[in-house]
Amino acid sequence: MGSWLRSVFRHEDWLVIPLGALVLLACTWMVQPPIEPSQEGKPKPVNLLKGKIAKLESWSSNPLESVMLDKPADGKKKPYQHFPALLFTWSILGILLVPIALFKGMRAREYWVGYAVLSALATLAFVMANQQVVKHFNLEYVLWALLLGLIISNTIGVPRLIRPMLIGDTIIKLGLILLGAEVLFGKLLALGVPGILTSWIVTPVVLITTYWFGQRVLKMESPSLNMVISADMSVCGVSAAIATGAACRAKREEISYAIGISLLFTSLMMVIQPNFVLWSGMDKNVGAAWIGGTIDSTGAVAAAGEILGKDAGLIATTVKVIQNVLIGVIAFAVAGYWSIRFGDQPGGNRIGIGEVWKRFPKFVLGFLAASLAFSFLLPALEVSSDAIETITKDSVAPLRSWLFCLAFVALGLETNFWELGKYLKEGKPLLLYLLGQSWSMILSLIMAYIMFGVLYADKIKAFLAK
Amino acid sequence: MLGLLWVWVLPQIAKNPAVKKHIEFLEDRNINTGAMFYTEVQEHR
Repeated sequence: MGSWLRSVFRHEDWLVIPLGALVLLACTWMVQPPIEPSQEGKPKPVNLLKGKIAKLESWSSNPLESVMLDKPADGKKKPYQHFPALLFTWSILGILLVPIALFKGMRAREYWVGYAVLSALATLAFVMANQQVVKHFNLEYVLWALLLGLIISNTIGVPRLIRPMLIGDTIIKLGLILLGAEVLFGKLLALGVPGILTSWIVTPVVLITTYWFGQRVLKMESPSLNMVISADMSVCGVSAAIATGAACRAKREEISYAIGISLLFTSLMMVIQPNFVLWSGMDKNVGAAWIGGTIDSTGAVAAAGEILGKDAGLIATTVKVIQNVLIGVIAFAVAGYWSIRFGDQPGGNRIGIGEVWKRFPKFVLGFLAASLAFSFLLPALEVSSDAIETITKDSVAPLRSWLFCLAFVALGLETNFWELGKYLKEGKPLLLYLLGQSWSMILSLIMAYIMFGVLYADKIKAFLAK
Repeated sequence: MLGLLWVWVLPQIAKNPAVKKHIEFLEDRNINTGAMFYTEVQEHR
């Protein structure tokens, strides 16, 4: 079976694309036409997978609260409510990853033992991330997944039986194809022209200039580390670091470093930035657009925006959503640029289209195809926006989160702490992040002021009044 | 040490009135602060 898969798909990228497509098709198929009336009285489509993919609850002092239903209808917490969902999720993902294991030539024992360890650690990472204080400072599960893996690999070591299952890079690609379905181009129009200009002009300008600065002025040793830091700082934090890191084949230590630094500064900025807006007396709509354009992580933007008020929270989150959509274009552009500029063969000679194609990470095509299918094909097939929303939010997003969590446990288990320590000792990556973030804050503030404070101020107020 | 941090230190921080108030403020609005992507921002219950 494994040799057949290798002869048919040749490269793992070609295998993860149909696997991702299969998941997306299954998620779509599990949504039935509207029969259930919603609270607003409008019938909503029924997603048979809703609640079946485990999403752990936040907890304050007892970690077991994370597997209880937080707000059940009868007002009483039911113990271990999420266990069936956990069992279902572990089983689904265990079956889903079998073709990858066969492709990689794993034995059944290696796969199932390795998978059991990864899923147990991934569950623990989710429990850690859902502690109320941790969660409210946006210290996401990927950080804890990495940390758990790092601690184990650099203390007790990884048993030989589990090592073949350390395929974090491949699991990330599958997760990214699912993420593609969440990148809906229709979201671009949510705030009209000011939203598009604030996100889609400033973000690429900051990304390109920061990368250029890192290469030419700071003379960063690793272009891929430069790109991952520039992308996570300018686009949308962890998800951008994962997508661009995979697109430019960054080392796992580079992705880990970029994620760590981004989460650290996000947790600071989500407190400082909204309070600065309030203290300075800045127009709240301008401040919200500024927050949406500069704070890396989406959850942190929602929290920071909400401090300014309900309307400001809506503006900040919407600007960030528009920026989120950029991730598809940026991952594709980075993959293309890297295929032309950096290949396996040294030398600056012009390369042919065949060589570019050979170097191009093919899974990015799956990522883009998923985005285009959910943005344009499903609406053309008269799948309602409510149906697309429940597919992406209640099925695809939780599955993708689990895949990323499993992948980052595996990456942590593969990472040597001393390799990661090299980046911590060197000041250039941190300096790049700080200068890039400062540059982003200046440009975003100027654009937010022009768009939300001057040119479109009335239109935004009218939009909010609706 | 990690266990101690999670089952004792962090719960103590969560009890701090200012932190507790901020957590309740966001939870009342159903905002998932730990969201990585926009599809996770509003928690569905």
